[in-house]
This record gives sequence, structure tokens and C-alpha cells, in this order.
Amino acid sequence: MSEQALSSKKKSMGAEKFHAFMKNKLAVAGAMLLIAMILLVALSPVLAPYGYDEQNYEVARQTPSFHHLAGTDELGRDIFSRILYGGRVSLTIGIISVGIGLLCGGSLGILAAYYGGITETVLMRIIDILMAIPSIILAISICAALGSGIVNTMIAVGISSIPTYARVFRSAVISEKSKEYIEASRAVGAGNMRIILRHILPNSLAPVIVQASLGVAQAITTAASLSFIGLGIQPPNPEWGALLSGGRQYIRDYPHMVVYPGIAIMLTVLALNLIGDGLRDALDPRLKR
Amino acid sequence: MNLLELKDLTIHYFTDEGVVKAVNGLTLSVGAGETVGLVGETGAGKTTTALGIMNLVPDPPGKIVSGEILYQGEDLAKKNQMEMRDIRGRQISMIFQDPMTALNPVLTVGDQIAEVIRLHEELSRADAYIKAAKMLEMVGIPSERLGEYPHQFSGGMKQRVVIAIALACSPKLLIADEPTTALDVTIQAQVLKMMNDLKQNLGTSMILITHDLGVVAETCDKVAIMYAGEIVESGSLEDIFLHTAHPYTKGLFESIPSLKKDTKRLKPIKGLMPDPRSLPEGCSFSPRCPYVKEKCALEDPQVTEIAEGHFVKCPYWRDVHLNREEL
Repeated sequence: MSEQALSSKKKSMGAEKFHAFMKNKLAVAGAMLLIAMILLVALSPVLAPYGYDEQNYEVARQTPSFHHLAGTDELGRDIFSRILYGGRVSLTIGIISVGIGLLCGGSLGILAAYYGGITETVLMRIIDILMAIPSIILAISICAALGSGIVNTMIAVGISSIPTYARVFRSAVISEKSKEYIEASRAVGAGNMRIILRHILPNSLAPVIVQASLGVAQAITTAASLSFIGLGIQPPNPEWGALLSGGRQYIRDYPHMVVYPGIAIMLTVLALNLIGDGLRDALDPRLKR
Repeated sequence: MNLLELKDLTIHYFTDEGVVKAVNGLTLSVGAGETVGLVGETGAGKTTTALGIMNLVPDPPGKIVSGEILYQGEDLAKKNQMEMRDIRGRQISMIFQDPMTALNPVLTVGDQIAEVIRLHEELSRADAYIKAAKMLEMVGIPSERLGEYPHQFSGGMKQRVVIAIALACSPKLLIADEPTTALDVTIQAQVLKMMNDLKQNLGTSMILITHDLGVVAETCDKVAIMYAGEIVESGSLEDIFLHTAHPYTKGLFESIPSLKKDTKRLKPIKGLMPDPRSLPEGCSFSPRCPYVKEKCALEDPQVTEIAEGHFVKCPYWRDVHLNREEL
């Protein structure tokens, strides 16, 4: 009896959620797209036909051809190769900076909402101060203070996204913490940490997951803006945003220089959004059919 | 010695709009194995009393102003949160009014039953699940459903799960806060019967909070009638139902349609429960009382014991008592 009960529990935890996700065709398409992207990008040293900084003035500003799948830039570098290498930087920045934002913003938001009172006032006013500065300017100033480079870019983009996550978490937690099951778990002797981690956190994740999947996309563009003004990724290192801004001045005569990096960004953002929606539907048992 | 004794318990909520006097000088005792019905209108302070016993009154704004909550001779009001956490769920458990919201939607019922067990008993994960399965069987749900989520259960089933959680560590005292209010009448009877059986098997005492005198008649040994944060009459089931002595209790009975008598109209109690922020002077029931005398609005009546174990907070109980006998 108990064996059976145990195994049915296991199934419902992992496999059932996976099943629910797999049923959502769009989300699966998004996941496959993202996996394909990650594979391409991860294997760029093998797949890329040229090095990301290999210059060849004889073929500068060529339109796409069999030799250069996405054409070449003003220095004759192969854009396809640069997109592949650039994806490594862009995706890493996107994911890690969202991680930083989630971790810091999330814990601030949860603590503020759960304890309320003076804790909430102090924490949320700090968040308000961060929010008063436009996030791009905040990222610029952090980057300027820390210096450029991939790690500093991630920190800057991460910190500038803290207010968003703190707000999203706070509103989710506030609506959860007044529910009766929280009181019920307190009535059976659960402590604060247990209530936060086991009861409140999983219940407030749904809006956060969607926000985070959009956030990765936003982080990629913020990092791109930083690179554009010369604070983020330094040339000749490729990065999608840097590619976009690099090709900006040639957009009239050689649109392929911005179109292909743009498509790369768009596909990634689309894949992330589809996955985010699918995850939300799968993780939240209340939305089950 | 009684299992639980509330002595002169006073709980107030200090809000911006004034002091809400939710519970005022409440005295109540629960013996081992006894079921005590706590009856009163909405806003009489029943739930606050229950939360007070668990030391779970939301603070701020709520505060236990004075009084003692003696559980096995120890004052729970003086315990800190750490000590209370050991008591909650293990010694004293609570069943909440609405089973729809009292379960965490993202955890399986097995997880939730096992959680209480693991909080209070040194058991491995697997053993806790085995015990959770037993608890589920005990409340009449097949243990195969351990891995299902709350939304996969019906309302009555959810209340059974809540009861399984409450009884998982065999507490000595169970506080049931309107456990059947949110359920269908047909399910109510089932759940009440099951609670009664389990209570008897486990030797648990119970405080049953309700506004349904029918439920009280079916399940309780003792009854306490609450009005505006005070107990106006308490005694055995027989005392309250057959020898009603307080005008408010009498009013409650007269508000229920009777099967035996041919009544055209019910006699509801006139007026509304007083605002707990500004309770009337003297007896708080006096503005609505049909037996009111001049003196009632001047001084708060004393509690008198009119028969063994039958307490009434009204000096003119003889008038009410006589009328009741006539019926």
C-alpha cells in the first residue's frame, strides 16, 4: 500500500509536470529552438567557418553568399561566425544577470512582503531609490564604476534588474501570505523559514517565471546597449548587441549587417517567452485542465 | 485537572480606528476527552479565542491583554514562539473553516500530511509518508490518493485531509473552527460523525466553534454561548437546551424554526451585535434584551452558578428560566 503510494507521489512531482509541459506544443517548440541555439552557440569553435576576429579586407561588406552565410562586416569578418561566438556572450550574460537579479531582488521582495512593517518600509524604500534611477543609467554607472568586461556587465545588468524582481516577488508573496493555508501551516507548528521556502515561494513563482523569461531577453538588450556605448563587451569580442550597433551606420546600404544579429536576438527572445508561458502553465496546478 | 482552562482571557485589536474588544474576560474549561461547543454569532470573538489559545493572534494589531491560557497547568500566553511551535500541531491542533483555502495548492496532500509528522516526530521521509497514508485511510480516503493535489479533491474530501493533518500527531486538544460551515449539509453530517468517531478513538478533547445549534446538539458534551466576547451562559448540553437561562440563548433558540410547533413567524433577536470598538455600558446584551431592567445598563452583571456547572451571566435568569419551562 505504502510502496504504491510513494511511487505515485514521485510520478506526480517530476514526471507529471514534465508531461504537462510537453503537452504544450508551442512551449516545446520554444524549448527546442532554445536548445538548438545553445548547441549552436556552445559548439561555435567547431561550427563557425571563420574566427570571430578574422579580418579579410578583400571581402569587406559582402552580402550573404555561400562562403559567408550572413555576409561580412566592414572589416571583412564573417558575420555568421561572429553571431555564433557572440551568442555565447549574450546568452551567458542574459541568464547569469537574471540569476543575480532574481536572487537579490527575490530575497529582498520576499522578506519585505513576509515580515511587513518596518522591514518592508526600509527594504522597499531602498528598492524605490534604485527604481528612481532609470535601469539603463543605473547599469551604465555601475559599469563605469566597475570597469568593462563580461563579469562586470553581468553584475551591472543584474543589479539594474533587482527592483523589478523585488516588486514582482513582493506582490506575489503579499497575495499568498494572507491565504488560510499559511495560517494553517503555522497552526501545525511550522517556522518562518519553512513557511517561506516551502509554502510561499512555490506558490508565488508563477508570475516570476514569466518575468524571468522576459528578463533574459531584456538583459541581453541591456547588455547590448552597454556594449554600444563602449562600456560592456570590448571589441573585437563579438556580442549580439555590439554586432547590431556596429552595423548601425551601414544599415542603409548593407542591411544584412544588422538583420542577422537581430534575427538571432529575436529568435532567442521568442523561444524564452514561449518556454516561460509553458512553464507557468505546467508548474501551476491551479491552471490544470 | 482540566486539560485547558481559559481564565479571564482578554484579547484586543489595537487598530487606527480604535480598540476592538474582541474577547473580554472569557473563562472556559475543557476536560480531557470532552467536546465543548462554542456558540455565537459572527463577530462574537469565537475565532479570536481559538487563535488566542494557539497564540496565533496576529500581532500587531492583536494582543492578549490579560488572562491566562492554562494548558495542562502551563500558561500558553507566556510562552515564546519557539515553545509554541512545539505545541502547535502536536499538543493542540486546529481545523480551519474553509477547506478550499486551508491546503497549499502546490503540494500534494501526502506532502502536507507528512510535513506535520516530520515537524513533530523524528521520522524518516519514507516513514512519514507511510504514516501519512495511514492517516488518509483513517479519514476514509484511499491511500493511493496520497500523491494527488488538493484541487483533485472535493470540498468534503479536502476537509477530511485537513482533519487528517490536524490529527496526524494525535494532539490532546483539537480546535475546530466552524469545520462544516463551508460544506454541503449532506457532507456536514458525514464529516461531523467522522470527527466524533476519531475523537473518541484517539481520546482527543475538542473545542467546536460553530453558530449552528443543531451541530452542537449532535456532538457536544458542554456548551458555551458567546456574545460580544463574553460567555453569557455555559453548562452541559442539557442545561443549555432544556434549562435555558440567559435571554440571549433563549433568543437563539427562538430564531430556529421548530418541527414540533406550528409557528407562523420566528422571533429573531432584535438589533445587531454591538460594535466591538464601543461596547455598551453595563451588560453588553442589554440594548437588545427583552427582559432589560434599568440596572442592566448601569453595571456589568456577575456570573452566577444556578445549578451545578451551569453558569449564567444575568441576574434575572429566573424570568427567562420560567418562560422556557412553559414551552
